[in-house]
Amino acid sequence: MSFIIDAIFIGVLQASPLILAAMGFTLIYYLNGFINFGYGEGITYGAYFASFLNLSLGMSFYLSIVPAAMMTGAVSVLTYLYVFRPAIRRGVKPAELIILSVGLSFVLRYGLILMVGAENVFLDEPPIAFFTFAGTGATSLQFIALILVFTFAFNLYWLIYHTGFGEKVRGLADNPDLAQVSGIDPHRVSISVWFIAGSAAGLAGIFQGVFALVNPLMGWNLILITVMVSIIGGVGSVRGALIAAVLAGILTAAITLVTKPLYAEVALLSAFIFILWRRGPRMA
Amino acid sequence: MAYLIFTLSLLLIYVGLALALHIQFGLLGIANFGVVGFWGLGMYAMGVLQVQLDMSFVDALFLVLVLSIAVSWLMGWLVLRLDPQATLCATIAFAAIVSLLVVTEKWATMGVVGLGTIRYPFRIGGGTEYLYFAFLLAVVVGLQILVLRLHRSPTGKLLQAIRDNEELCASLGKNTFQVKMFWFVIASVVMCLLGALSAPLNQFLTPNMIVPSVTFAVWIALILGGKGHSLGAVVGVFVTFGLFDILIETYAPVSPELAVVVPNMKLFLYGLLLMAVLIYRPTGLLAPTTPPEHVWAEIRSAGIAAGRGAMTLFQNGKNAIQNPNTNQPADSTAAQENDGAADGKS
Repeated sequence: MSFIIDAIFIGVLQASPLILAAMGFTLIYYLNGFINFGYGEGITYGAYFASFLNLSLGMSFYLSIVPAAMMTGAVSVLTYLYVFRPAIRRGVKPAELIILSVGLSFVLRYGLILMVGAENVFLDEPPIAFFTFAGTGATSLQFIALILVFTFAFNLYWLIYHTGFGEKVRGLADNPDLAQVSGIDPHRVSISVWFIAGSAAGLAGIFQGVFALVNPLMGWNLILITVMVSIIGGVGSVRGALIAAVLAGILTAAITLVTKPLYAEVALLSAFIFILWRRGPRMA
Repeated sequence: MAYLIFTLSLLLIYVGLALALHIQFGLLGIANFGVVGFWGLGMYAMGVLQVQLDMSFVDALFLVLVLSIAVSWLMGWLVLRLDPQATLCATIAFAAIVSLLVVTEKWATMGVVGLGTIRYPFRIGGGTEYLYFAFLLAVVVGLQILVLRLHRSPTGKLLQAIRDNEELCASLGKNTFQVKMFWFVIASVVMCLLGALSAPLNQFLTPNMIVPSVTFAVWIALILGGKGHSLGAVVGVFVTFGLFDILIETYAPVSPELAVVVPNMKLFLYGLLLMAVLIYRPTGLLAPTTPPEHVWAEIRSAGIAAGRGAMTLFQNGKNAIQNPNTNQPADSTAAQENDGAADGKS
């Protein structure tokens, strides 16, 4: 019984960056219909923006969260405006858009390495209080991360399923022509979505960075599992991405408690291939 | 010089990988993003069999062949029915699994410590590297000839037809899944065997050789060279790997502090190049071509058909003038033409 509680507790704590990343990723996938590997670099950039504000400008970690996330959102919008929108207009097909996004992720990642170097960076954490809860321990930082993640998740959920803006996004994703005829401006909606998704990636990166360390490969290491979780959760389903990310976190924690962490990754990746195979030609 | 021959051998390996990917992506449209998975599997299998089990090169190569057929077949069975985006994700996941297993299975691969030393299959004094290079050259030239022949053969046309419209091919009675499976397995086995052949080249294997940038380098070469052209793979590898890894890294006067930056700069530029090609010239440097004789044959047959049509019309017209009682065919043709014009307007 304590094993199950441990697995759930550690899983949810560890999965908080993944939850954010998967929900943002699935929005772009839903709206534009392709897998954006460049999204992973949003995670890296979020962490680096936070480290810049936190270490170079000396801001407190908690104060740097929101500006760093918004800066990442801006980078995400720029990639949409200057890379993906021209490519889509020129008729590049989804399979090639993915390759394009891999190219973009290399440009962003190695551009960052050329600018700041490839060394690990450690964020200046606020003083940590440790306390126990239902038999397991956690730090104040983890609790705050968890609260922020779930606030963001529920706001996003509300935005997509219960507001006029969410209706516009869903309309554009389901039938772009009909949505445009009804007077929805696809350009403005896309920019908002890319901004929200980029900010989610940035937040994910900030928490991933403060839980462990910041380095240029952190986004690439997280993007594959983000893509997996989003596809398994169902294309465009923010709800599905949330549930799948939590389950993936708990599963990883459970396997890690039994064997090595790397085996958990192997098991998840194999499960992913198997689920894709079970679904067949249908993607979602 | 020894370093140059090593780099040139590696260039040949990349040409081979790009040719195999050309069969998968260029001809069949299967987006295999797990190139490094197959290559790394072959390389590590070779290393483990030679070092841990002390097998000879030929025996190990045979076992790698058997293993790679099994793995490629399993992967083909898992991914070939999927949507192209799902295929891409599943193959990336496969490559990630291979690189993780290389780290975890320390009893076989020695994990991060590294596995060595893998011997060359023969040893003739100072010329071993050169002879091995010649051997690799023969293998890759053979592969290129195979691809060239495949392009001209009916099978090549079938593969392209499956890429462009699989449902149509299936409706014409082709077992498209079987054809895709066969060529996917052939190309993946080629990747594994190229991995096995690069094991003696590297001599000492470490898990950080199995990184996504290998897959990426092969993809950029193929896309840049021209994914649909039979020579695109070679041209692409020479322009990317040949230019950066041989010309710049070997001959450019780079100071030691800059030398650290060069590999990162290379991947940055690869990414930029890939994006530019995909947006502005999706066919790559070499656009896919139809052999000229084929085009001429088509024009000729079209001309003959047009001539025959004109003759028939002429004959009909002449018949209509000669005996007005049987002018039915000419009338019906005219009526059809009117119909066509009406359709065009609406």
